Amino acid sequence: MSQGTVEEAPRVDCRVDREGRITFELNLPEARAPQLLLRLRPRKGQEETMGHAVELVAVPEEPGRWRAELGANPRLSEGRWDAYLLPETDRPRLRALPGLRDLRVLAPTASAEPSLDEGVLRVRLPYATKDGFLSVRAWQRAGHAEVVRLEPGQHAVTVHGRLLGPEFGPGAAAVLRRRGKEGPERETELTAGENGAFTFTADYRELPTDPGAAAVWNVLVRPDTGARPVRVGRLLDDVADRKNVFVYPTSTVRGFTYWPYFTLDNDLSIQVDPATETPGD
Amino acid sequence: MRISFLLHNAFGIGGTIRTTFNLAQALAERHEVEIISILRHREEPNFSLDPRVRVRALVDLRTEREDPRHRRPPKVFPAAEYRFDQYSALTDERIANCLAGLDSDVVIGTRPGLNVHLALQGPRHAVLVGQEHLTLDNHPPGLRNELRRVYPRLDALTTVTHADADAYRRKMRLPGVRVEALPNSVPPPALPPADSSAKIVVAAGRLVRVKRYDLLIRSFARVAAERPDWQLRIYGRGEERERLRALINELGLYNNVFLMGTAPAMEAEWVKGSIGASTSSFEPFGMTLVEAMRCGLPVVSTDCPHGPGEIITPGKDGRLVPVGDQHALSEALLDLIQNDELRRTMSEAALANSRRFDPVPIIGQAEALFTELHEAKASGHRERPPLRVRVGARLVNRGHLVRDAAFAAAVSTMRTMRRGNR
Repeated sequence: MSQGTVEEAPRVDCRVDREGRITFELNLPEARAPQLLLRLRPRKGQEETMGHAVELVAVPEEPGRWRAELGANPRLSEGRWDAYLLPETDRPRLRALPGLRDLRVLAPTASAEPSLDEGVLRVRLPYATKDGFLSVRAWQRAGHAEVVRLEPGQHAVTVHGRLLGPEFGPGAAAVLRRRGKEGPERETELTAGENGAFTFTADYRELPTDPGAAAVWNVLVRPDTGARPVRVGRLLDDVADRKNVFVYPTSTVRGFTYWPYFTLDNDLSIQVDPATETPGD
Repeated sequence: MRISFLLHNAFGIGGTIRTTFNLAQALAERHEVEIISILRHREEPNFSLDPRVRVRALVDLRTEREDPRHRRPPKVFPAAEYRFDQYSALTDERIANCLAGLDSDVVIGTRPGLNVHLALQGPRHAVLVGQEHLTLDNHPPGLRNELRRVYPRLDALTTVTHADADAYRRKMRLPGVRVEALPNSVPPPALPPADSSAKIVVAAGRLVRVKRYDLLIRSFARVAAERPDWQLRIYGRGEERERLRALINELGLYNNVFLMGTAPAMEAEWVKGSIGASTSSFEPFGMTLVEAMRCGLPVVSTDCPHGPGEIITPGKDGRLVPVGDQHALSEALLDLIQNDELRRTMSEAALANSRRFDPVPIIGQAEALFTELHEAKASGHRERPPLRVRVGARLVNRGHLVRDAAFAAAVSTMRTMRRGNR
């Protein structure tokens, strides 16, 4: 068991504070000027293009312990930022392992008011990847519609949420857009309340279907007649991978099943599949 | 001392694995410690382990699953043991060889079947300690009788509760065997404790029937109706997942109750909550109760055998409700949810009261026990009694023996029939 641990990257503890700063801490007893690197994970088969080095500072009175703080800058563009350690400049980088992640201020019922910077919402969430490494999810949205609760019904799903960034005006609506090139769109009435609160009901029967064909509809909110629709999703808590945690029931309507779900990026979509016929039906 | 633990599978997830790791790495400060994992199915253990503790596996399922010896049933590992189906002629052979070549001073078994191996094949010079992480009363009669036959050959038997130690003393004749309660220990969390303000109830454990998460979810329906701002988070994985998911959907609780999957470090999850919950119908110890309390969460638990009642001081650092009582469970949760001040004082009490499960006193107790037995062994050893139970020794024991024998015969018949049907 002890073999190989020398070359293994250390576990990095993270803490998010009320101001949204992320503090990273780790033990590197041998290091003199180590660095923490965040690299935007490229699409499969492509080269890394973006990275940030964050300075690690020795923690006073704790020999071998290093700390890095990630404040509002550098801004992380949307995606998954894998964490690496550079123990010395001439040594190869090591992929960081997650230690304790203290994300309690992000927990849904304790969360601080989200702050927007010139209308842009920036969310950063340290998480453990499926293969067990430390990474940071980042979202950067010029306008965002945060889901508060979903009420799936027999033929529809009602979405309660809150618009962040733009304000509602005349012609506000929910927009469902089928994925794929020039997919059709459907608009649905939206009720806007105070403080950006909104409610709308997406009726599955209004979504056109092609016989036997599956489809995915992305859910958006258009703040007013001329505004660019913003994506509906849930980004403001401590859950990095929502798809298998926030799970809602499926409805069957006219030979298709409809499933409101959160995508791998925590956005809200509706999955439509031809219903499989049950014997004896 | 050189100390060896026999563990079913150091690479899995569960309370016994965690507590064995805790004990092993604490002992490694002053002793040479190894964990012998009977089975292995992956490269690294799920839980982190001090590198000073050596881990070796006897049967590697990644390469030996198809070994013909692994398809034959074991002869030493008892048939009535819960893990019987995972043991084989191959494990019999490997464990026997391992024990024969072991020069440790203390060898510790961590489940009934391994304690049987230890009692029958443990090295003569070593102190043999059987650990009971389950409970005697819950064992099938056939297993109880096998343990009754071989446990007199052990030097000590540790249980995780006083209630279970009492059961062993009362229902088994174990002359010369030290029977002692050694609770599981939980290290102090590295993170600051929860401040009791979060509106989250947290539960953690394998998603299996005995944990009764269905009861917890049902009881939360009333909580969500009265306090929709509160959430229930259940951490863990297991065969009940889809049924629990269906129940959440059926009750319309998908905005309040979440199956979170496993967490690499529960500590970081406990501190996001302000109440811990455990609704098992059987909990030999209840590690998650202590873990939650050490993070500053009062715990609402069923009063099931045997752990919760020895961990929680009702009304002070948590609540105990009758097993299976959904109404009482909702009431207890709502009491704490509706009363911020009560939650805060209980949180402080939970932190203070759970310190008795700190590794320092508990490992101290274990170390003292092992040292004492080791010294006794070195200065003229106790002869291991021969096998064969002397029937008629004491009436009370005989009563248990005869009853268990009758049940065991019935159970083994059923078992034979079940096997035949496969």
